[in-house]
Amino acid sequence: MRTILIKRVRIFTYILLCSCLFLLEGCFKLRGHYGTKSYEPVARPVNPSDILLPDGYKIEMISGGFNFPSGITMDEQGRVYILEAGYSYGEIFTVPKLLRLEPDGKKTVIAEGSKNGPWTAVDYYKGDFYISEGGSMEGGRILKVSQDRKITRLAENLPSYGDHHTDGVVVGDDGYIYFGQGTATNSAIVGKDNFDFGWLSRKKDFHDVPCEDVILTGENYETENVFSEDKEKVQTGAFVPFGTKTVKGQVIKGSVPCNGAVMRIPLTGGDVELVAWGFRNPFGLAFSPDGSLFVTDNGFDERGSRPVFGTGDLLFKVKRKTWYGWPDFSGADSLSGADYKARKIRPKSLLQKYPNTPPAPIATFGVHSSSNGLDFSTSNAFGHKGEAFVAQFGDMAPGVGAIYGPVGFKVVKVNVETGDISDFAVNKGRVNGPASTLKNGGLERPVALKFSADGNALYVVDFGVLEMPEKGPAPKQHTGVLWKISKL
Amino acid sequence: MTSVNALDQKIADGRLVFKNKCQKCHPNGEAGVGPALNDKKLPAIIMRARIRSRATFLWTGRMPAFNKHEISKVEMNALIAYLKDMRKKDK
Repeated sequence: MRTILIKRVRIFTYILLCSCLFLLEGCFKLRGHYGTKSYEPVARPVNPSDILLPDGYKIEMISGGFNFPSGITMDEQGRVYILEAGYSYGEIFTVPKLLRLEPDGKKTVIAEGSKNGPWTAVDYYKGDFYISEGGSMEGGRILKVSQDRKITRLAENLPSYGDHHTDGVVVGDDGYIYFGQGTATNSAIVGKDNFDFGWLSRKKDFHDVPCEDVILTGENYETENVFSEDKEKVQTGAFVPFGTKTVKGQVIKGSVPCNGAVMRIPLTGGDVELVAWGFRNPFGLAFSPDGSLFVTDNGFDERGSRPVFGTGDLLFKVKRKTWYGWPDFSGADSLSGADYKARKIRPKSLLQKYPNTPPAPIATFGVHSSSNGLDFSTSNAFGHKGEAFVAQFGDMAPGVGAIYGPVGFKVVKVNVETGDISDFAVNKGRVNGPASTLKNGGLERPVALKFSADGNALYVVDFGVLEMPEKGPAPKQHTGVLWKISKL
Repeated sequence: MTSVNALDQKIADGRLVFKNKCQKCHPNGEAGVGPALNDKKLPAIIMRARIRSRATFLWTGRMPAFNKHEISKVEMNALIAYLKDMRKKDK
């Protein structure tokens, strides 16, 4: 008995000593704010040799100087078109543009938008371009740019004034345009974080809209009234405007178009139809070689009235008419467990009844990695046929939550059968991070990617430098780059 | 003695456990919302203890504990083999 006790004390002492050593190593240093609150262009050195690829591949810069580039597509002739968003977090508005890259390196403007960015994605289909217009000022839209460069609104008034926008457009072989619509908020409660974002002061009554009727648990969250100078407190519930209380059993009517959903419209325009819902920010949409629709979905942040800790970005295979868990689940995991507690608050369930058990994701990416652009390899010549490639914009910490080191800022590939994620293009060095932090000429913030029609090359759109100083996101204009990865 | 093939298989199995349970907070062993793992010279006994119980580091940090239903004994052995291999490759 005594021997066992001595042994246990020894093991405990050993563990304690190791714990102290672990702590003393300085491994608990959190990453703070960085950069300066300026939107002016900065010098961006470009050096492809600073990027690590698997053996047998090379990367080159095709063009640079883009202003907040966000999407890419190609026509039948293999000509490359780049989308410039016209808006960036940090509340900076520029002109959204669709540009064609010419063989001599020049950029031809095919279409220009109004102050209603960001243009978040583009797809080319049989002579026309289809664009997701984020709709920060006038609501989200799906635009068609025809060969005569005329812009037609195929869908408008999408609920896109909030944190997340109308996203990832892709045309299916079935004659429908599929697109994502992000949520207005982090986790269904309008709060001070949305005021800080900028949109709540423009749209005081805006909130998330569910796609079907939901019954609430009546959870409300107290915050200071951002519209009052005397700092009075207000309570806000789920799926209602700021400062509006909800009660247990309250029914919120669903409608389409809605937030946190993948929806579709016919190529010729018409009613918006629901495909699936319960996403948070379904940013990247792509069809796999077997015709299945996949989506990348950005996970919760540790911010706002109902912060959530530690939910990764997710890759889903989209099943029609299915609910994917927002605002009460991350993938198949309920947020009510202790693992997701943030700022000592455990996120309680907001919905009394769930439409279905949320499906498990195909893969879970790093928390705050901002896993966005998505496409599939279709060629044996390039390799990894059938695997998904994902552009990771990189974290926006500490605004989205505390981290120990940069997350994302690279291109990863996913085996959609096993969920195995591995780096494909990443900056060289002992630690990960954007080129501007690592002081090299590699990747900054990959946001979109697309394989060429023959499948032999992967084009990667790099948004450019976006720093996170104390006063909020500071994107630097004209620092975007287009990369091309191919076999040696 | 473990053969090279058996060890490779164990590391491959451990990689899948890592991807399912650890990847989102320690992407590829690097720092994320959790600290980096690929630069820590922790003995296997400490790694096992921390994965099983938050008490190991005196309840500091946010990492949850994983019981035997979440990571079985066999999976734990594979995970430890993968973590050691990751550290070796990162040198």
